[in-house]
Amino acid sequence: MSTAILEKFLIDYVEANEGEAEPIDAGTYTILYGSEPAIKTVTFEIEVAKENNQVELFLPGSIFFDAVIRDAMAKGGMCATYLSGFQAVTKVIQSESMRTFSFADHGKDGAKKVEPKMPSFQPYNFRIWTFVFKVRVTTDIIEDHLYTVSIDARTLKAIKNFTEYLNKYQHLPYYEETIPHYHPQDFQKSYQSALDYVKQKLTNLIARKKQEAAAMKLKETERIKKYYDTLNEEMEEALGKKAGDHEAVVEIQSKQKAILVQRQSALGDIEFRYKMSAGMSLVSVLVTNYPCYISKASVPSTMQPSGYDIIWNPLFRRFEPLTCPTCKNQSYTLHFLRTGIRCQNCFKNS
Amino acid sequence: MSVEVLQIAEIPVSFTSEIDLKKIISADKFESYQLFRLNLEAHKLSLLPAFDTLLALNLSRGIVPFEHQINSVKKLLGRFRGRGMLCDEVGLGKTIEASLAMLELITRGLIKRILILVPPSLVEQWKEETFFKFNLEFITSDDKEFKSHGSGAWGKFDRIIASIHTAKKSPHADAIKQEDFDLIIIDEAHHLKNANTVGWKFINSLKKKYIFLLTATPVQNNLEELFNLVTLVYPGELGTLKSFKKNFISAGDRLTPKNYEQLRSLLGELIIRNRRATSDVKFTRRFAKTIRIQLSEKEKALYESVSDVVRSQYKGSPQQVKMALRILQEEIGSIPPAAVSTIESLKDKLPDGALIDGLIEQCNHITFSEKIKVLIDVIHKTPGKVIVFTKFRASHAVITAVLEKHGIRYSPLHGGLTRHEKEKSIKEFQNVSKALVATDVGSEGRNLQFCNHIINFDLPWNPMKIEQRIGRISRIGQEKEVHVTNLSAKDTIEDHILYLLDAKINMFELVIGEIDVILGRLDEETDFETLIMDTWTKSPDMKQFESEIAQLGEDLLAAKQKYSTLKDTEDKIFGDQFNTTASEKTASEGAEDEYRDS
Repeated sequence: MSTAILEKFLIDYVEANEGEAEPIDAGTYTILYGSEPAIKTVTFEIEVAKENNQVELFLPGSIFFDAVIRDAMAKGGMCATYLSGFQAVTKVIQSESMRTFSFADHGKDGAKKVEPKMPSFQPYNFRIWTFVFKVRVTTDIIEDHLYTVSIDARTLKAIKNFTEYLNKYQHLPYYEETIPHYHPQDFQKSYQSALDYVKQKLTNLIARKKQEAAAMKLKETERIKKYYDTLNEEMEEALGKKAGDHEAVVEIQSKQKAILVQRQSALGDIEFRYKMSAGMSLVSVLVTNYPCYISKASVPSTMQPSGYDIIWNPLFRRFEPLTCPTCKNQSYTLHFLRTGIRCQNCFKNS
Repeated sequence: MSVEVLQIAEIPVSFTSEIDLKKIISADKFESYQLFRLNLEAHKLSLLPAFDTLLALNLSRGIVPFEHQINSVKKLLGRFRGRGMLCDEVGLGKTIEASLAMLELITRGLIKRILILVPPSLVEQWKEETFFKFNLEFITSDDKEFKSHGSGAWGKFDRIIASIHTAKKSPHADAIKQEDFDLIIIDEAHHLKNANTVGWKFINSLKKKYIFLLTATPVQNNLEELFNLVTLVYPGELGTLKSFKKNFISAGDRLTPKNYEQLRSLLGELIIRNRRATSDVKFTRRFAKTIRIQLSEKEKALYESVSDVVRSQYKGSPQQVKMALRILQEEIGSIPPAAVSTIESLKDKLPDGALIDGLIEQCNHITFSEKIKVLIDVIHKTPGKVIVFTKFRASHAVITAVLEKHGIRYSPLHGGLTRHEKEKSIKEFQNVSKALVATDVGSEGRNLQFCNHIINFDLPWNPMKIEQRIGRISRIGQEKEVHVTNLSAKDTIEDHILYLLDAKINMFELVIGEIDVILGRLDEETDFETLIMDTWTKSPDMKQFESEIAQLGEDLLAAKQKYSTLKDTEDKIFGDQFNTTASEKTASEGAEDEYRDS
């Protein structure tokens, strides 16, 4: 593990506790934090710590490291953030939307481009729930995994690498103005989606671990069985040779009994060693609020006049495509026909 | 915190939530994004890494393991998945490797129940090392608390160090066989070289998840021994004995392997063997000097009287009296005042009380010690700091009083001091005192390599204890030559022990650990001090004792020579093929990257 990761973590930890960290030497810092602050010298170099017992070692397994990790894990389990700083200029969005979306009216006179009526864009609050699950699978070794699952509360779909993406933005404890929620706040559905997602991941992980353990177990079991079976065959052979010698026969038979016991014991060891167990825990939840800009547009088609929410998502810097009522796919182009509304694909295929 | 059990891929998965979800729904106050980030990073850092990152390294105290030791642990836990043989040459720290591996498994939560089986003479040493260097507390089969539970103790305690001789005997053996141990460590595993012995069969029948066998000499007389040891760890890996003999042992020479490449490839998955020549362990030279002291007439007379009483009363006495007599014989070899309390305690235990009165009378007439005089002289002549070792608190008291009288600044170290007082005393010795006067018990677990001269005021009969004293200063970090001065009174038992260990086999210049291997070749069941005491009490006079000691000396010399030949043979079999010089790739490597899954 790189000590750079640990250094960054410690500095973040100290800052989160309204303290200060100052480097005094390569890999060594003085830190000051907490409600009763006292200066502490911390090092990431094991030799430095062994030479001076006043210096706290900060490496996995060390007492101070464990204490800090425990404290950091005890906080931040239920968090919220409000993204800001997108600096959306609604007029620019509006003109951009005209270039992005395309509506065609297929009336009696043939196809004609339709200009939708678009009132100005207004901010609405969108939510993404991020759930962090810790998973441990144990056989004769332990495998730990951390699954971070981000669910878009509107679509209930998982968003890949969302937490990595989040760092790019400015975070506020709340919005400076009141912004209405765009969609219902059904936490349970988001949570259920996250749980289903992680269960699927876990199913794959367990299947892989089971396969791995089964292969090891099979290899060892076969070796053990072959060994004791061969030993027994050797004993049988010896029995044949010593058939007339009662004492020798008794001795060999007693050895055979012992072999049987040893065989059971060795096979028992294998079962014990590769017994699998698994545990999962939900360790933290983050709700991310961010304002999307929405214009409640109407398309004045001669065929089927319709209303649409044109959504500008500043987080992903794009307009959300519309849903084709025919194929349910997403599209920026809609064709209004007497037989229905179609996306570009459906229109081509019809 | 809610707990439920989910069935995933036919495995019950316990699911806990550290978050109260009901609170989330109604919450009007959440914590900040900064804390979420910190929480997430903390969880990432708390994930157990693969075995290429050893957590135990940061938990051990006062030791900085060598590269070969770290690599051995990685290999043992990673590639060997916790089952293997540590066969490093003597002096390379197999105990450190095994203890580190054990601590690693404990830290990762993979083991709870541990049984360490060792020869009786090493029980205390293991307890000391695991406690002082790894902060792991064990109960030993010799502890009163353990004994008070009878054979039920094996199931009661989670961490046990036991004498293998005790463990394999009834009723203990049956009780141990009932237990499931997560880890079994067997030190000096070459004692299990014969598959027909009770010891081998006993170990083979134990239930264990992980097993480490430790031996510097996996082959002693023939390759079958190696087969038997391997079979304890991986039954069948080398086939049956019959097929092993056919495939791998040369006809007519049971020490020379055939199909060597195939054998080496099989052993490569089971054995770790580092050699001194290729490791980075380097010790400074050691020099020993013995000063034979002529006792005063009164001292000599007392020594003879005590010896007569011990010899005459030893045979047929109850075990407790025998023990007291042995202690008395050792004490009188230190300095007369050390023996007074034991002599007095024997008054009611021996049939003839007059014998004891006579000894007390003799003690009271001795006011001067030749040995003390020599000690003061040696301390004055030693240029730097010096550690004076004694076995007994009474001797310790006499020595410190005399040093005080002579104006020699000293620091005391004995079992009666608290841990804090001991630390203070050592610091004082390091900074200002000329001498540290230490008992064996007081110096347990202490590294004193800032000093390079020790004086053995008296001599433990157990060579391992002598080695431990030397080991306090002759260790990693010692930059100067090490000097050992032994004080022994002429014609005492200690004088003869020194003859055996110093003159005969040059023990003081052996690598730490080698004496154990040599003594191990003498007699596996009887420890050295018992051997000496038996010889002493069975010899009717000094002449007979000297003759017996001479024979023992020849046996020791033969054992040393045999050990030397054995090292050559093992070099031939193993060579440098089982070194752990390169970093080991572990079985679960790569798994830790998956935390990025989202």
